[in-house]
Amino acid sequence: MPPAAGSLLVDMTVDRRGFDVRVSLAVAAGECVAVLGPSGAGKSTVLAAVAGLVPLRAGTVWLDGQLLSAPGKPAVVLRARRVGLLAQRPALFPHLDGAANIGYSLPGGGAHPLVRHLADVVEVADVLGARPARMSGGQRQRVALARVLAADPRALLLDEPFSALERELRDRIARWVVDEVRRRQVPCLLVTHDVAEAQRCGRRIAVLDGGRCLQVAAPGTLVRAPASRRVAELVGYQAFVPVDFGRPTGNWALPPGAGSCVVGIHPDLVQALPQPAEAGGLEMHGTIGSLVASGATVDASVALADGSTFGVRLGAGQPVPSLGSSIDVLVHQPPCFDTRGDLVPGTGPPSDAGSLAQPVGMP
Amino acid sequence: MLPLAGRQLVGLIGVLGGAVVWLALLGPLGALLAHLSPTALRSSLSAPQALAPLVTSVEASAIALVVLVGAGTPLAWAMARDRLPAPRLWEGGVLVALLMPPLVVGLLLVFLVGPLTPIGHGLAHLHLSASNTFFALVLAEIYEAAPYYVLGASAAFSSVDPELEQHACLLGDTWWRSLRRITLPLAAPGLVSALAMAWARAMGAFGAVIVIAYHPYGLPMQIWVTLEQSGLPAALPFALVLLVVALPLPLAAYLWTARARMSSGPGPLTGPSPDSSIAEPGPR
Repeated sequence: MPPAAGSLLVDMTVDRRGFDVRVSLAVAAGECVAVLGPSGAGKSTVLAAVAGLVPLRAGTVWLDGQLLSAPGKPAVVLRARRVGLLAQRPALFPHLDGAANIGYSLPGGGAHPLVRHLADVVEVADVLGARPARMSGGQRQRVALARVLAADPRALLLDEPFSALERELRDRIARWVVDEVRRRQVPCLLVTHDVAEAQRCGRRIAVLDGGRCLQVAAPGTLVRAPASRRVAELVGYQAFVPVDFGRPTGNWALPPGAGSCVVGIHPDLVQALPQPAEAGGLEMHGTIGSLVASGATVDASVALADGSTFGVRLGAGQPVPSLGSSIDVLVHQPPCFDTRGDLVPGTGPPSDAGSLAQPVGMP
Repeated sequence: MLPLAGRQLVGLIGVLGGAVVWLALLGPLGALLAHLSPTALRSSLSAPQALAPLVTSVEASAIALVVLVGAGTPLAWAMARDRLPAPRLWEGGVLVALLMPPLVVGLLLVFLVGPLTPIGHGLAHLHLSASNTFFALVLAEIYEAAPYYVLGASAAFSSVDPELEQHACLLGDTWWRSLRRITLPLAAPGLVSALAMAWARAMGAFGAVIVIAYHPYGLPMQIWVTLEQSGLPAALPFALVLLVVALPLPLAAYLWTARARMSSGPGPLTGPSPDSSIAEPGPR
């Protein structure tokens, strides 16, 4: 059954050195799905397989109603796939200047008017006349991005596209890319290992680890309700402690019959006490291990009796305790994981997470 | 770590050693220029038909190079891109051709393509003979120059990252177009070097030539025959002519390659390096 026009449907098994990557994903036209995972998770392999650079062992890749790859059938040749791949290495053509690189796929090459426009948008107009060897890493990355977009691809595959950019520029370019994906109505897979970037760019986030897709979730849901302890580790949870280490407060309670489980602690979801306790959670008692200034606030690390440590942000107006002193913290609505590592149903946040699911650039 | 004086001494020894090697390598050239008398030069080169061997050599080498480029370039590309079954076997074959003494190559060629062999019979049907003919000279030069060209061209293709070709195809190029726009321009300096090397080998081919193509005289044979008949001084002018024709192309190619390498610079393929130190804020 061919999928809807414009969308990308990936359902594949790819052999990779040492293990196999098995991923099933549907990306709608105009949608950007962030692929999040540690290095070696198989993220780049997914992109390479969609681009047609590595063969599938099983499964299919559909794009815009066309079967691109299937085992035992010659894959659609690279030229005819019309898939835009921005690899982790920008792989610019070293003998061509910036303009000729961007305009590689255009009639007239670097002289095509689109080259100038794209170069202005990604802010590389000043290196249009320079060879890649004379560009900085960030400039090369942006020239490569413009080169991919100039070719008018039917799908965008971006592998850590903003890794070499400083934060302000990265946010600007990322916002433009997400807007451009929606304007062109093409599906986009964006690989990153940075949770914040995945949340900014992806309408959904697919968490990849060890070649398997562990969870696909909206940006607001993922951190508050990770599907498993492994996902929680990957999205920034710092400690997992037995639930009986804390005292439930407010409206929070472990669902009946949950058995023995651990509480996941994320630094954004921990508050130092005393606090106006309007939300429920788990109160814990620990000692201050370290104090580090972070912007206008202070990041303290809290050590519990069992040796696990996690961070807590001491916001404006809160007293800064001394090292080694004891501290009470409230872990907000923590997700709990059973002995197999799965999320205990009924833990984690209430269902208000959906309202946070808007990625950047959404109206 | 050596003290400063010690390091200076080591540097000095290095420079002196390099100078000795350099002088030793260029010594023969100096000797040639020192012993060449203007009168001998004039009398040798003004003899009737004195420049015929030069014409013969240039023509034969040019034809040999055309054949090499036509047949050797695809082979070199296939070797560089691992497109051949049993790639080590192919490389080994080219290496054997490189390592075999040219004189032996000439002897074996007689047994392979001489007038009494099946191939020789076949050639006779085409009114060709691989014994003491211009055709034999071209053949001998091809055998002497081929491994240099194939190995050099293969190295030139290997230096082009296949990822660049893949990206060109993803951007809409056919395989041929990516070859023309990416592979060949990037491999060009190496290809020209390989070609120049092959040119020098073909022009100077002697070992195989003396066995299967004594006639017509190319420059190396002319030098040999003149040396045998009239002695050293008479042969020197032809040696100079050979050097003048054989050397400039490789030298120019070398200089051009070095310049091309300078201008494209190192690291166009290296990964991104952060523009600033705050590129990686951890998950918060």
